[in-house]
Amino acid sequence: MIDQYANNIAYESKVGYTCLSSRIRLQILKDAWLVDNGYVDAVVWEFFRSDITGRIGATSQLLELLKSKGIEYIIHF
Amino acid sequence: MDYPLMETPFALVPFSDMNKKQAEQYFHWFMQEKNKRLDQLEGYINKTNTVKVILDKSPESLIPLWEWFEYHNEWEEKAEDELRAELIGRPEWMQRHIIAETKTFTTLTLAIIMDISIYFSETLIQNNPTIYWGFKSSPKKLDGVNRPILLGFKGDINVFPFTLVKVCARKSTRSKNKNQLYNLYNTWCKNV
Repeated sequence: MIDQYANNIAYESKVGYTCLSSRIRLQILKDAWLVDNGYVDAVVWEFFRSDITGRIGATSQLLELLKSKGIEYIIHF
Repeated sequence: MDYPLMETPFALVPFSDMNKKQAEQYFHWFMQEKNKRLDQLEGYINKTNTVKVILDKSPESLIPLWEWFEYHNEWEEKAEDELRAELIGRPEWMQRHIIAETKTFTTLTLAIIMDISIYFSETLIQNNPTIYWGFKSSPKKLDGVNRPILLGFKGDINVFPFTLVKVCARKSTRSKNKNQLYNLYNTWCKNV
């Protein structure tokens, strides 16, 4: 399920530090499918700091997978 | 505007608010109307083009069709109230993305995109017998909920063709590629 959608671009937001779990992997593959099949122009993942843990970002494996699937990401340090 | 819009002879409630009966009424009307839309599209293209484009539902016909469209793909500045409406209920981090895009397709271009999406769908149906028009009233968040969509793909995928063609049109504003719609067709044939 897409988090936000505007101007034919899908946006996904993640708060805190995110690991490449099987659920997240599946989500990335689904997002890549949307781009490959012309359903969206692009997908952007945005990472925000958690007010509770103070942590932000994602594991290198997760960021690598996003990159390899052509998904842009922004970390809001 | 020299291109009549698709207007129902009955009062139309927003698709997201329709009940199943209203969606069904719209669907039946749409199925009667779609061939008229294709005739209108073909007539308009050939009135505005020096080379005749024949919409014979062959996959290859998508190439001259898109080549024509790329020269009639028009944008305009978003109206202030339109931009404001887009911001309602959006989280703060999302609002900057919405504000960053100040342009939108003109009404004429959107009407043409809609009709091209019908033609694209009819071409898929013509050449892939498992594909058919239908509608779904749930889940409410479904893209194309209560609208005519394409069904019959592998994995029970639903396709709202208007979204596909709109994305294609947006790509064409960045760089022209007359094969764009044809490539999209071939991509979707892999999902049959």
